[in-house]
Amino acid sequence: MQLHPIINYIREQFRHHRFFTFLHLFGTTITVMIATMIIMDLDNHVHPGGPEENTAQLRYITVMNLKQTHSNNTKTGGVTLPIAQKIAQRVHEVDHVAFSTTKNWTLPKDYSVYGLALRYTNSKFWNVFSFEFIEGNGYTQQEVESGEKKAVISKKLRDILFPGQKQVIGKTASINDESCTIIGVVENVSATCNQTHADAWLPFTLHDRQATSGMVNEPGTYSLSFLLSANSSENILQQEVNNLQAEINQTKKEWKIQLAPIGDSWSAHFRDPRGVGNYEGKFNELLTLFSRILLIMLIPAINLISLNITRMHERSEEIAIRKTYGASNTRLLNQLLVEQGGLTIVGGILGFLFAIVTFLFYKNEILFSTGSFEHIEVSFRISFLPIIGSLLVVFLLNIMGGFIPALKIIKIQPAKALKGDLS
Amino acid sequence: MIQLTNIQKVYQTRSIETLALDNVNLEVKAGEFISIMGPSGCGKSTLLNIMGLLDKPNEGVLKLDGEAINGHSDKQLARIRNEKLGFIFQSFHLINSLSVLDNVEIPLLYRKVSAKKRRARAKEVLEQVGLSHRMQHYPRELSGGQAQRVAIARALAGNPQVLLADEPTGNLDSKMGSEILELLHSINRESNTTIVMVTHDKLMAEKTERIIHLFDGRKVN
Amino acid sequence: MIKHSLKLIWNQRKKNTYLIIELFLIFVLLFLNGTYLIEKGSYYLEGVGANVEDVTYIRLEKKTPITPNDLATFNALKNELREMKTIENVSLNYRSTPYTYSMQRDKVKAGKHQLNCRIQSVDDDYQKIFQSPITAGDWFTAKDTNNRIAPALITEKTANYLFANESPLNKRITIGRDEFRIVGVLEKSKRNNYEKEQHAIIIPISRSNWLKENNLSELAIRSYSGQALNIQEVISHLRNYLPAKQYDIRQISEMTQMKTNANRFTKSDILMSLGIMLFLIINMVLGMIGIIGYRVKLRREEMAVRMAMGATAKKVSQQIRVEMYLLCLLSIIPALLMAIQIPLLDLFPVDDSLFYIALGSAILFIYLLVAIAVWYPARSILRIEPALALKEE
Repeated sequence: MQLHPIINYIREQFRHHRFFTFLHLFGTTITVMIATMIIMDLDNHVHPGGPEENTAQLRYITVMNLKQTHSNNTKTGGVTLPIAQKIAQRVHEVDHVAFSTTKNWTLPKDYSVYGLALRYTNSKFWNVFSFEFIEGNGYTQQEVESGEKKAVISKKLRDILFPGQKQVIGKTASINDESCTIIGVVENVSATCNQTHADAWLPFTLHDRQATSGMVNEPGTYSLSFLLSANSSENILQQEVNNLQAEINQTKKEWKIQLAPIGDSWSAHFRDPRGVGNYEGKFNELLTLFSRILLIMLIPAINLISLNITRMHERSEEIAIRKTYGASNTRLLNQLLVEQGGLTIVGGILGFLFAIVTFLFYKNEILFSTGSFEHIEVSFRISFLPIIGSLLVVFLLNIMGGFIPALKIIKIQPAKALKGDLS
Repeated sequence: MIQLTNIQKVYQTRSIETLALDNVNLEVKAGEFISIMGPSGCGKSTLLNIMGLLDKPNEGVLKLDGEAINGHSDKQLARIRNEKLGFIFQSFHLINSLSVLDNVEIPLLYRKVSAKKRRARAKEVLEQVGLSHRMQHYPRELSGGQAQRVAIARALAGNPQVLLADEPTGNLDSKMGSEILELLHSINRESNTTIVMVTHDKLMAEKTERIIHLFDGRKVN
Repeated sequence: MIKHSLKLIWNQRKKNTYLIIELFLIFVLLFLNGTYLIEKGSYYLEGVGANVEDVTYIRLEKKTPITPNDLATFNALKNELREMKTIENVSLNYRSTPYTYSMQRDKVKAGKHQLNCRIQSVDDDYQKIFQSPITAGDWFTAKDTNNRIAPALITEKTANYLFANESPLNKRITIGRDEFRIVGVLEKSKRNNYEKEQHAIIIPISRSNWLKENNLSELAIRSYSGQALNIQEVISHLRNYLPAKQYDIRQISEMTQMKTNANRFTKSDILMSLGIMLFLIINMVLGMIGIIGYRVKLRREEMAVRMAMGATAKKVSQQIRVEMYLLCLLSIIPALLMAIQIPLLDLFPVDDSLFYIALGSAILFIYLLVAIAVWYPARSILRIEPALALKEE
């Protein structure tokens, strides 16, 4: 496949058929842009990166139901602390189980009020997730158990609490009315990381609600995270959790607990937060995504088809002559597809670039359209998924918009066409 | 009926000026059937277009049915064309996506004629050219001769005083061509319609009353 | 003329397939989007039945469950806060503030009717803070609150459902095992602007689940118009009655900011769908201009012949316009037939009258688009020179 004739064709289109070329590019570019943005949005929610980079081996339980034994009354929420602890202790299929809960913290400082997030975790939290430490490290099992007031803070919080200073290990700060020693500073964590995002991380033993969490007639606020190792089996893990759940329920009279099935980041993102029912799975989400993109693509594709039919009409003389001189149908088809494919690819590249630029400027609005907004840190990444996605869209547009007209036009009869009869 | 005095037509493209008609004087009496002959590019079609009010001369005066055509608006010209003229072309120029009957109706669409009357008149002219059995057919289904006859019917639908025919037999074989010429003659005889025909064919031209020769935009003898 | 054009496009319908499909799709999209926008728009315009300008929200969590004594504590706090120069009024409530995510629902019975309602547990001052319009009766007073049968207010929506044409005032209504007497009717109460209004009942906080194994308390502070609230000062007053050892301050926010946040998700949804819609429309219109323009170019000879037969350029131009409008009609008829089913089957989420507005707007809009698309090609017809177009050589 030679590049030169394609470039020639594109150049000629620009010069003589500006309107149609613009239309072709416009349609392709924006379609690809929209498709890419939809894919990037999904990708960034399901693979937020940062400490949750290892999506392949991370699993979660985020929802727990409490069901009254003799009625339909159901309360839904997170896991309670004692249950989280029990599971973390007793599960053997994996080496590390983390649990954490969040809390909002309002920090008035210098006439501003900062809305910050705190996360209370166990020590294994630092083993399960891969945080990037700028300084120091996380707290150990011993530090957690002894209730020591140690904290890990984000770079952003460091700059708020200790403006201008680069080394803050060992210093103290008042976090949520507790005087804590800073033992680690990490790179900022994007708000898209649902299971790890915070501005400060503290041992759960410092969490003041834990005194009351012995009673289980209310769902809790914790979520569990598991790190699968090379030889962990998800089935066995699920079995272990089920057994523990049964064990817990045996001692309860009024309320039975029901944990959501262990799921990956897809289910953590898409699961209906009101239920512990079965999550239908990745396939459904991808299907919805795909059909949405397809629907949006439909009108530009139809546009392209009629556009190309028109263009082909204008080229009918050229094609008739080529046919007269012996060009085969397949060869002509190839030529047509490749030529107009070139234009589509240009549009695709532009669309991809526009998508990235828009994402850069509006990442907050797109990725994080709920919740409080000020001072929130959102970062996004471009994995190969959106690239593949946009290539696919370009390919589809090419097929849909170019194939059909091309098929029609190579069927013309040269003798008739040269006389002007295109029937 | 038609009077051309000192007609001059110049075509101006970006850099080239072509003198299509140079000082042409011509008079066509009512009821006459004349031919205009000459080699390609000599200006015959231009002359016909001017007579048909489709083109304006740069200089000279055109009189149609006693009325001088001078400074008429497009609307007025269109009305005159509609009422007094009928056109026949070499490639018929029928509308492919309309039936024969719908094609013939077209001139009457541009007049205030009721749908019923239009239909009736269209059927009448089709009868006149001998094609009433093909009323619902489409132009693609007709032979060349039939198509031209439909075009003639269309030209007659508005009861024009003048028929302007630009190479009416150019796309037809000799047999069909003769039939068409026969038809034109009968129209000329029966309704006393003035006919001006541009043609290449010497034999056909000789069957008309008068031949005007044009060469390089000028009348020659 | 119309019949003539109709015949033309009908006979050419195969050639125009893609145009027809596009018009159909765009029309469907316009209609669906229109109904979505109209639905959300009407919800938004309804408001939430509360004025949140100059109101600050404080969310408190006690480390042990709330007891009846706490009510006195909160009242004392309220009084102290009211002495601040910038504060106009303070209210204590439970799961009742607009633009928050907490809600309480329960079954509510009145006579033979039963339904699931939002339960809003508020104090006497709630009305002074949020200034919700009352359409019948009155807000409850301290005297009412201490009655054996507690007072309650319901919304108009709930009143219509439970009591139809009768006045709901003084009627009895039960929540679970507690009986209430309706003393007033609120115009409406919603949690955020884009939500469909749910049924709601408003009861005094001292007679509500706030006192039953609950840790949550919510304050709403209205400051004088234009006056900024000194949060540090508020917190220090707060701590005089609610020490840090017992109470967590989980959130302090300005309610106008909360409003923006709560509405943000739907707002971006709307903007996104509008954006995509705009793109598709522009795409279609540009495409139509190109296609129609090209078809007109192909039909130059036909136009010239018509002009030879006595049509003015203007008339021919108009003919093209009429053809396109008829084509548009042809394309949307299947969609119209389907759409008519919607009010008949009562599938529309809001008032039927709005459905007709949505449908009518979609029809007008698509005709506008067709008019735009056909404008330039139709104008180009005026420039045709019949003599040139008919040149045989």
